[in-house]
Amino acid sequence: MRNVVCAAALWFALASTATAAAGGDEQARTAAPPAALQVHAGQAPLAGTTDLKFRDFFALPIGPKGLAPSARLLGLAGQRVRVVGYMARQEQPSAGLVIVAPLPVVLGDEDESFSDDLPASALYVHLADTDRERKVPWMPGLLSFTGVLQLGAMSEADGRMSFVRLQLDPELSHALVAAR
Amino acid sequence: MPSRLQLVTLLAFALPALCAAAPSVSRLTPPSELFAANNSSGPVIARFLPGQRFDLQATVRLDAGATLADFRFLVDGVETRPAAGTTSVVTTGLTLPKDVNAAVVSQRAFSLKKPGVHTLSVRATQSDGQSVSASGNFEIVALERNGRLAKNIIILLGDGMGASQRTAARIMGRGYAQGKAQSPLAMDTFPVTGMVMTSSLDGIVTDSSPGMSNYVTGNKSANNTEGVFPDDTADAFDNPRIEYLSEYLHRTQGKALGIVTTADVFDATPAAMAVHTSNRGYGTGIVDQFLDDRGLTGLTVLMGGGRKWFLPNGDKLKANGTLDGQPMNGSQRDARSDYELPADLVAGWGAARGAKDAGRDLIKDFEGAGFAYAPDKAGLAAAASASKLLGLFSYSNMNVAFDKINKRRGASTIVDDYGFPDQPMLDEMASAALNVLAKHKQGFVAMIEGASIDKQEHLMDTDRWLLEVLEFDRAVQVAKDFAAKHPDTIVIVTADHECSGASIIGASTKTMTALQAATATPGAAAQRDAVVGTYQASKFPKYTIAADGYPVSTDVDFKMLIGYGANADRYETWLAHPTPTQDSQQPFVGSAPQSTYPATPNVRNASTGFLVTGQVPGESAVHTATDVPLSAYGRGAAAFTGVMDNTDVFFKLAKIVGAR
Repeated sequence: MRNVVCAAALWFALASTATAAAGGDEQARTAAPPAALQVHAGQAPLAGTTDLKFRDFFALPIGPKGLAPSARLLGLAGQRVRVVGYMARQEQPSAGLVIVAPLPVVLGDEDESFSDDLPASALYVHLADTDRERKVPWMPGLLSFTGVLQLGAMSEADGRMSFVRLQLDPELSHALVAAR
Repeated sequence: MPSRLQLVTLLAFALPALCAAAPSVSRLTPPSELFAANNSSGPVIARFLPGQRFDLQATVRLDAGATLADFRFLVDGVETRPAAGTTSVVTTGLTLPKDVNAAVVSQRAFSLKKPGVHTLSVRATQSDGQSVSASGNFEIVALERNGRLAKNIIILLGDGMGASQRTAARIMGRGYAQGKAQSPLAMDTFPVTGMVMTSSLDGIVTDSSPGMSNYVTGNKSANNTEGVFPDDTADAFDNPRIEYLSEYLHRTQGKALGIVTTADVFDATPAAMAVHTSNRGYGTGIVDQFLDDRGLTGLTVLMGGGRKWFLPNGDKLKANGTLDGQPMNGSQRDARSDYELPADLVAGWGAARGAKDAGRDLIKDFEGAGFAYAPDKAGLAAAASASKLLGLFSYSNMNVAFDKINKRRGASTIVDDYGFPDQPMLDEMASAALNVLAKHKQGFVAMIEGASIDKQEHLMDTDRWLLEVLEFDRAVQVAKDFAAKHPDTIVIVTADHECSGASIIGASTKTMTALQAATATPGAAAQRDAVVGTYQASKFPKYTIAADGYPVSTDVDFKMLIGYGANADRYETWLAHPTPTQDSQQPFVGSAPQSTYPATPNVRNASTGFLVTGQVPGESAVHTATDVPLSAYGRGAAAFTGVMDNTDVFFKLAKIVGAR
């Protein structure tokens, strides 16, 4: 069965072991979200920044040859946007990026996970160049990411293909990797 | 008597030789009790048809620093004679501990016609001249031809459909009066019924992969694997293969293959009809192999969900930041879940080599191979004259009957939320598939799956899986009607396993108004003790059936109540859930309105229902090992009575169509 049930079950299993692993391998570490990425109801985006929601990624209904990007998404390419979502929890996250999804997901590296748990609207958030070699600890809950939107297929360090990316603002990138 | 000096000298030379571990064989395939447990009186695990192809394989543990010098397979003491290029020795990419020096040796596409139990041996020699041999066994099953033969095989697979699910659907869909069913389900009208044991090679409880493939290979596979035996390599597509029923009958009789499912077509059950892999999650390779190996399987119809695997990755971003076309289309193709076969497999089986091609446009390739492509119900109707048919009606799993039928009635927009407003029902898909397959003069093998019986049972969404069974039964009627017109057809209806331990515990003692009102005072006292009617307190619920064949509503006065014996924690109200549970694979999941759906069964109704503590961890119900019913109709149906193993079904079907 491939749905949020399985993902959530694994999430809880991993979450329960995270504490024991804390202080050890960075990949298993959980951190509290830094203030700069926390979500506050009603908070407007910074000047020159547009809110982009996951539901705005694709057009409805879905066509015979697949999903089509919405006019809104295409129109925001190259611009600064703010996206609110959940950081995907990975068994082995890659340095320099985090994956953000519209719901909590857990990604393994084998079995069905890399094939099947990541929603189509996943957002790849790239850290600043100075943080490219750093891994980001997993953070629970909704997070706010602001940066420049980029579209188009690209091979990522984790082996996946990304289609929607965000080049994260440097100060947010630094805050992410420094989170404890 | 030797002197002390002589003893010391003898030990000095002999000890190193005694301490050096000799090579050993840790796995011999096909699996057998003779090899695994040195048990010559146990059941013969691996059985094949005369001439059915399968791979021979052994894992040879070598001494540290040694290499494999030679290996041979012997059957009944006689060396096999592998064709050129059909053997291999693999020493890297193994799943064994790193300090183990081993070689996995294979001979591909072996076959034997002589019936009986045969001894399989492997002899291996390592570089220092030490050798090892080990033996197991397998059986070639003799098939006596008698009676008239069938030309067509239709397997209707209700995923997770045990006896309780059939009974519950009959109560809802047909109604009871004074203890008697008003009328039978279509599957009830089949003249022969038996029971099937469903265990897999490595567990009493199977998942859907071996649950299906055991029916169509005649052999036990391990959980999560499809059409292969286990091995010790990491490659998910190089495992020892077993020839599928479809492949055997396409090779020997020219039959076509049709696969119809309400799941994503890469899902375990459809893939276990035609694809060989040890990992059911490798979606890209699975869907590629459907097309690439159509010359082996005779694939002629493929229908279901799962469009995401067929789309090429979006246009690559150029260095200058520009794009030629569409940047994304929802493609989930991924080189890591794709396949590329080793040379010995290609040579032995005549299989396509494959490629790690995430950018492949598989819909285009299907069309190029002569398949008409139907993206929705209207497209399915337009493809009526096709000779080959590909139908991909959703991005991932198709919507369930509960939501599809309510969309047609104008009572729900759930399917719109998923982005696919015009999805066909399973009986419509089955009808279209049989229409195409019937054009094939040599006959066909068809598998038609009601996939979300199981998926909704995992979620303990009672009303949704009940309508899945009713939808599936309408497909059963389509198949039965086909067999009535084409008497050279055998139809079986069964399941790969039971799921959730569903049981009909009784009926509500309350009207629907009272049941709804009880949600204001959630708890066992108001919603269990005051509601659950058992024995004579469980009266006969009356569901009104609409012209479309489905209940006007499943929320009726004194409704049937379902309990679960293999459940996770859940909150129960006994009421139908207006929305399904969130599915992470739907494109707009996490966003409104899908974000308003319950995330999991253990938060669904948390504020309105009473907690039922589960016996299993996690958040979904699980499969069970209980036997499942199998009903048969048409030519040769009489063979399917009594209690049988799921692998027995393969040999019965083969006999009915004249394999020998």
